[in-house]
Amino acid sequence: MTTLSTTTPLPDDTEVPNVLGPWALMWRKFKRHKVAYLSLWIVGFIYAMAIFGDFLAPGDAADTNRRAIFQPPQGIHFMVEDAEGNRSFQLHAKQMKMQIDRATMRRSYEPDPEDIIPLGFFVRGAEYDFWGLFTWDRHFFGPVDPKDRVYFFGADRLGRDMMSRIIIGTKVSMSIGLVGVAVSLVVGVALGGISGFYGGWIDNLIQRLIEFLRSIPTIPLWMGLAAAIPLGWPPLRTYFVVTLIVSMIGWTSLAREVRGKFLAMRDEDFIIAARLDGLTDWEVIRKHMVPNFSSHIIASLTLAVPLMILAETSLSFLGIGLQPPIISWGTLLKEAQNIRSIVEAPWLLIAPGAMIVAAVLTLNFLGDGLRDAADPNAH
Amino acid sequence: MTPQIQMLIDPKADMTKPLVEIRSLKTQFFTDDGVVTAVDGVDLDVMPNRTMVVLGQSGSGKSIMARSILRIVDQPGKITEGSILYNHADGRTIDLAKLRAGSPEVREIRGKDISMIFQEPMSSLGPITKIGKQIVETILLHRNVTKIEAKEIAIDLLDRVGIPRPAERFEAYPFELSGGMRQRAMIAMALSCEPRLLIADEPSTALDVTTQAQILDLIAELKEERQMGVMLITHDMGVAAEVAEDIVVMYHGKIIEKNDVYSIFDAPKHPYTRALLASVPKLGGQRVHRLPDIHELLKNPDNPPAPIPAKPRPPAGEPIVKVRNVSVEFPVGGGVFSKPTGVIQAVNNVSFDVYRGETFGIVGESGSGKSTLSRAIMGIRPPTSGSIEFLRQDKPPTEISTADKHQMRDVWRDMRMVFQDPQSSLNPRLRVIDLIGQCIEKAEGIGRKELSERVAKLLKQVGLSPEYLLRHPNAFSGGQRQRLGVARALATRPELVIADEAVSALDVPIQAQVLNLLQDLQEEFKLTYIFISHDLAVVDHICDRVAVMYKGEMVELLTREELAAGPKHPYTKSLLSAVPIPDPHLRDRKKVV
Repeated sequence: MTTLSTTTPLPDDTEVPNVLGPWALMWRKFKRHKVAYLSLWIVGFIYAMAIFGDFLAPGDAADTNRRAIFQPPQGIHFMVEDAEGNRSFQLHAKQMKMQIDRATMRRSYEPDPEDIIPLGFFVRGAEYDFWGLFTWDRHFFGPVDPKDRVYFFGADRLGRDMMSRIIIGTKVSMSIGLVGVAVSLVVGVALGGISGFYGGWIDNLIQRLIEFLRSIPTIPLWMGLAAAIPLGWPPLRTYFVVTLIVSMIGWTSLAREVRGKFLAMRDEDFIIAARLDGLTDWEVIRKHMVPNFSSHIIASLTLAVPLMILAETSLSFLGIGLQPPIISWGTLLKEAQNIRSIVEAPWLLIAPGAMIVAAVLTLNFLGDGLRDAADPNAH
Repeated sequence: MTPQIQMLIDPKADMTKPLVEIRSLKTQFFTDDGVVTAVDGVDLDVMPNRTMVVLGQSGSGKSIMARSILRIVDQPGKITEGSILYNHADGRTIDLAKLRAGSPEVREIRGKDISMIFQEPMSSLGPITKIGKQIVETILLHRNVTKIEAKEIAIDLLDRVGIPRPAERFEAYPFELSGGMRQRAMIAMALSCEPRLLIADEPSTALDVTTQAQILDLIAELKEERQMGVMLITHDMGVAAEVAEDIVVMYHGKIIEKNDVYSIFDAPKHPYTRALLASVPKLGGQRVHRLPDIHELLKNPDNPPAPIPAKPRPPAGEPIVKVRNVSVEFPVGGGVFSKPTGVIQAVNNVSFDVYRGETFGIVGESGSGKSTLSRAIMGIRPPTSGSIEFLRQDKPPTEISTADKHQMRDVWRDMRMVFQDPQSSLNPRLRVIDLIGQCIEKAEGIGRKELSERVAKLLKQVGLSPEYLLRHPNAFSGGQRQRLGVARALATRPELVIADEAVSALDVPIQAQVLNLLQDLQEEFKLTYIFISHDLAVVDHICDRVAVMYKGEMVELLTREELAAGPKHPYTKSLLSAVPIPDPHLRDRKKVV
């Protein structure tokens, strides 16, 4: 028989280890989810793009150019050769020359190796109004000469720069997701919470309402509501009404989730204990229930954002959501609605399409990662 | 009984050779917080035709050790060292520790040669498959018989494990059976392939004492009949004393003592074993003032402090709670468009008084209505009929059954509750200061600084360091969490504390500590307790009077002396006799079940 070694801890020692709090544990678990962690950075980058869009865009998104209609994307070159044949480093793009085939009335573009557009960082360009705070004319990257135009992602049917338009469109597309989700959050948590906490006929009523809303086919519903927006409304008001329409359905799934959490938690011992501590229903919900499922809510919200983005895109694509001149990924895609555009200028479809796919995918990965991290039972 | 199950043992089988030889086994869990060694260098021989009980507290590694044998350790656990040699009946020996967990060799042994039953039969039986079908599937997997033969074997097995009307129950779903019946079905399934070793992991812990006694008897009988080895894992000294032939005591992943049952109980060698045995509350006999504390026992293992007899209790004062003809009914069935189809009488016409300063015990099995009754007194679920009067010292009497929300908030300051599960009764998101302090904050509206002083004082009173004010509950162990629960109950200086199975989820030494704490605090704060438990020994230790509940009715109300002298009601008698006594010499006493 061994003797009790002095190193074995006594049962139920009075020492308490310094263990991480619930949020820190969640963060640690999240960081292990490599794809989600990478997605967090990408999503962060996309939102940074939305905030600093005017600065990041190389040019003016609304600036038309008759000599660049359907111009293909230009590449960035690093080295230039001067007359003596010396190579030196100079970021530049080659000017594109338009030729029109008179027989078919088609434009074609040829790069002109002689005519270069020098590029640089923090260059002067089109003036913009930064979120109404100040007016500036610096751009992160673009042609050194403000009079030059450069089209990294090509140009559309009016010769507008697609890259600038996509970057500017990020603002509307990504924020419509956030605003829509914020509306869903408020409505969903409030109605779901009431439904789950009080139960009974209120619960019944709300649940049937949710079922009713979800049974309506979404596209016709949206179309009907969007059709009701008067054409004369200013773009900003249209934008908010569209977010409301998009979140019409979004709140239902969140409300169900919140209700489920409330039902599961309502009879937990610690909720009863909180009631015995003399807390009112509202305090029990605010101090005990919401903190316990806030991580789940964040995860489901993250998963709801891409749905909102897709909804806005489809509405705008169908021409019943946002209308030009508002720039969003959906209105950009609308430009690529006809076969001619796709054949002649596939970048009109590819560039905004790729952005939407990237944003939706990374938000989904991020949401999945958050959900796994928030769930103590997930491996 | 059919020939198939009578076949039993091969007479040539060597009964002296161990079934399983475990050598320096080490099972480790690779977690984010580092490597946790759950099983640390265990050497053990499991013999055929012996009942070996593995005894230990939660977290001692006893279950992981058993699961290592079958290679069913959960991720991220791994066997990192040692060997588990299994000696086949035909003389082959294989090392289970070296094989891949899902390999055919392991799967062949799992279920056929070694089978396992678990604590919670509901979660180990498939919920949507009929009992019979589950047993037949196991038989078909390991034995070369036709489906019809397999069904016959299954029905015989159900009959053998004591399930009445086995042919009918063959078609039953697990949810249609009671807990005890489910555990019997689970045993039938485990026996279906005539295993040579049965591993039972806390098989009776989730069951009531009377059912527990039956299941333990059944396992003992089957072991005799089939001459198989039984490895029974438990934390309950009483269970160990009732069924064991050999006992292995585990602590922190190590085996600290192994011997036959009588030697362990009569002359435990290891100080921890001695401390463990001493801290069990014993039914009947001299009432001790305090249960021995494991820390003190371990500090001074050779001469443990002699038990101090309990001080005579002060005479009972005025009633503090008057319960009159209380019934609680639950509606059954009913939905959106239909009325409830019936009622369950959870508590039926119960009347009693609780006197100021006493500890009033309510004892009963699961479903007896004891928790419902406590919740009715607490005002969480008002009674369907009857009256509950709460008589406080400086306030007018309050009728709980008709009190409104506002009155109840006031009542809840003077009547507090300690919950059973320290895990689920503490909000994991809150810090200690808010967990304990929110009721003070609510009642008195004091500032943060004063609050932290008050909570720190409370922590000290329940034996925790005041520096843990800002910790989250997940940093605390089970016993410490229950101390937090006690501190929360005392925070508003209540007159009455209802402890609903407050020590049932705790290991024996910690249970002893919490019971001592409750007793100390009773003296300090002049408290009255209503102490609800299924454990008669605990109730007998701490309570002055005991109410016995059975199927919603209070069948008997007796003082501790009357309980010791022998109860009158047959139900109380059977309950008392079914309690496992931690003394192997008493195992053959007559049981009234």
